[in-house]
Amino acid sequence: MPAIEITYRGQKGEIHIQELNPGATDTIVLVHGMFGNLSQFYLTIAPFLAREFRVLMYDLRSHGRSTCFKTGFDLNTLSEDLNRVIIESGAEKCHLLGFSYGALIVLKYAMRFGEKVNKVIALEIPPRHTLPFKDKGTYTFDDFWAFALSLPPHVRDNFLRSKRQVKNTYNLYENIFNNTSFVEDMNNEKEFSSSDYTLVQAPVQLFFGDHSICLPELERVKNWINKKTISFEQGDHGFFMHRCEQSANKMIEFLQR
Amino acid sequence: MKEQTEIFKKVKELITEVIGAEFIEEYTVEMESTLTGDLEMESIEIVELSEKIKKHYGGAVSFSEWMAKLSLEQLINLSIKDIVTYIEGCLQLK
Repeated sequence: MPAIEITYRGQKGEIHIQELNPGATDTIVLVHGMFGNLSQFYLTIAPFLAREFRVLMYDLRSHGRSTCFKTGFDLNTLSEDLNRVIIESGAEKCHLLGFSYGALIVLKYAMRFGEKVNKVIALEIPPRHTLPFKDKGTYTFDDFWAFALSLPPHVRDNFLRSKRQVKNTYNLYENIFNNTSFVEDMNNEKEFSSSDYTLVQAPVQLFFGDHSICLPELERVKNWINKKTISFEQGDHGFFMHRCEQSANKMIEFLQR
Repeated sequence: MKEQTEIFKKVKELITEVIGAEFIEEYTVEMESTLTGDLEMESIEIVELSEKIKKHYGGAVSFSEWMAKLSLEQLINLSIKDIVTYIEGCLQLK
């Protein structure tokens, strides 16, 4: 699998990437959500976006086929991983699309590296977690199962597609919660404020399912973004996995406007 | 029919590469086997399979776009036969 090398706090590792339509002029980089991997896009909207754009997808550190890192799940570090992917791609400026936690990563990137960003698609910005995390090292299969069952149907079905998928998603979940700095990083991460959002100068498409659990977050942030387009598609948190072509067409329309 | 058999043989070989020769013996890989049900393939493994099919058959087979047009239910029920039939159709159009 294609990959780029990164080093973080002395640990060397690889970030797994995939590319569609490498010959296109404009590039869009897709960033998946927590506990997912790039297949969230590769098997859904990416081929449709690739009709118009060069599409780059990558697995976040410790996800999919990327190396497991012990630390670095904060948005600063994850946006620096994204920067490495963009530098390696050779694109001077690109569009960004992030789903769920990935939406926070691309927004953080746009706040920090705005000069490299054309437009941003923020799919399903998640609200900050309200329940406290348990202590590191105490997560069990029961916690994972409760987490999986709490997910909206489209996301849950994708996670629980096969026995091996369940086993490996559990291994990922258990490893991240029990063996990495994830819980600490999540607890230390501050919610984006109105002044944070003013740093985003690129046009942003806020794209949500029309009965998503994340709609309250849209209400909270929508007035803080200068150049925004608000779009809806039928469905829940994972709507674009279900309505791939319709969702991709709305994204392309925004990007080419 | 001969072409179907050859494509099946190739797809089976590629699935073996993705799942790993040491694990494939746990499964019966037949024309009717489903990727996620019978072979328990993960979505990231299906990505790997797609890339291998693209590499082997080249631009004539737009495998990822074809898969993206499938509903989640169709993807869950996707069989080797579906893939073989799709590839065969693409090769005939070539």
